[in-house]
Amino acid sequence: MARVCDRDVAAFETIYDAYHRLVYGIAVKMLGEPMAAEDLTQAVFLKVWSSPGSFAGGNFGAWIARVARNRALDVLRSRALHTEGELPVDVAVEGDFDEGVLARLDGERVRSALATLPEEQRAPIELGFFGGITHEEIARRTATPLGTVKTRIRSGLRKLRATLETSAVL
Amino acid sequence: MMAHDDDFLDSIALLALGVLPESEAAPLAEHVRDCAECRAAYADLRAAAGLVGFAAEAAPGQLDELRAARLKSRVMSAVRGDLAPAPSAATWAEPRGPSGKRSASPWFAYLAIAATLALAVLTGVDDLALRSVKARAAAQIAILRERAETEASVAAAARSRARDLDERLALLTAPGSKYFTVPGGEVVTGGGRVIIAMQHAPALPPGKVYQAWTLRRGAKTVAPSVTFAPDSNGVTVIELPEAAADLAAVAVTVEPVGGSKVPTTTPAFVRKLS
Repeated sequence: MARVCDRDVAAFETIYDAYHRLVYGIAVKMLGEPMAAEDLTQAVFLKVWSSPGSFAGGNFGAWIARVARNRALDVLRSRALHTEGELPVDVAVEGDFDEGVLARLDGERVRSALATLPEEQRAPIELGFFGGITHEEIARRTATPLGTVKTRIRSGLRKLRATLETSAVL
Repeated sequence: MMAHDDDFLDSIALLALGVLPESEAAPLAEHVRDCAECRAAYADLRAAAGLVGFAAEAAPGQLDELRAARLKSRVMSAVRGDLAPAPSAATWAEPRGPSGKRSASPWFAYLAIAATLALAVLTGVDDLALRSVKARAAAQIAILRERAETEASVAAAARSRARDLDERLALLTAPGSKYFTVPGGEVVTGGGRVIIAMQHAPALPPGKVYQAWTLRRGAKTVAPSVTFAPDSNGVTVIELPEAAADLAAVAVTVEPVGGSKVPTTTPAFVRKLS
């Protein structure tokens, strides 16, 4: 990313090649339309090119995945498809968060770690990340008590982190 | 002072995953900023939550080579031309609110936040309350700015795609263009370019694409050209990279994704360009 800050097109292309499937995959999963997903993918990578300083370190894949998710949420807002309840908002707390070993993980290891989560934990986490809905809507759609949904999301994220940390040092 | 019980820590996990509504996320984020214990819990979960996106990484079949090549071409053209859009008030699309009605421009939201701040100062609220209002306003402004940039970038991308299509459609109706009828559409030449326009292309089986073949003047065998797939309505408007003046004929076959070096199926059509 340091080279992208210096307007190095070749470095940007390397990043594009490595992460365009991740961004497009998130976009198409959240928006459901390939053409809209293409537009969003282009918008995300042009954001990377125009504001490379937005990435403050850590796992680049996780960062760009969040950028893609948040932009997809914005598109969903603009489409006004969500007439029931509020849309969630991703408020990042600024700070020097060291992601340690997680910064080196790739997609395959993350998908393997996600697959180890119990369905009751993985489902609300993925529904929350990709569904563009709040925890209350997750509870309603899965017919699960709100408190149970909250606890399962927290337990699932903690287990995911522990599994990923183990995976990263093996 | 907020109680740091299990329910509260569960809420921090929801904040890390980004599934809290704005009305709950903003005050909780403000607390996390000021509380070392909560900041540590949040940081642990936030790092893991960000990686969940990898679950959706597109497999090769989900993003076929044609679409991937077209998308990369659009992005790299914009980057090489340094056309990354600079958001301006004139190009911002108005976001729609959840009700489906057009919501106010982001600038109205900025003004509302500024007015709130001014009111807080004028009414003499204490420093702590003012700091809280300022922190929420800053978070709100950051969110609004991101939304406005998204609207502008997505609109710019759609305009870029529309321009490409417009250029091809203009050729289809240009006075000097020549039209060669083929099953389901036409091959059009004009301005030195060749376009295949199909309105009723049969849907392709999984793992297959259409591939164009060109026969150069004087050549005895066809050469592979671009692969393509029709949209969901069976419509394709694709430009061949070869110059029209060099070509004697165009053919199209169905081939595996990625294309073939020689035709492996009976052509959907073979058309002489004369």
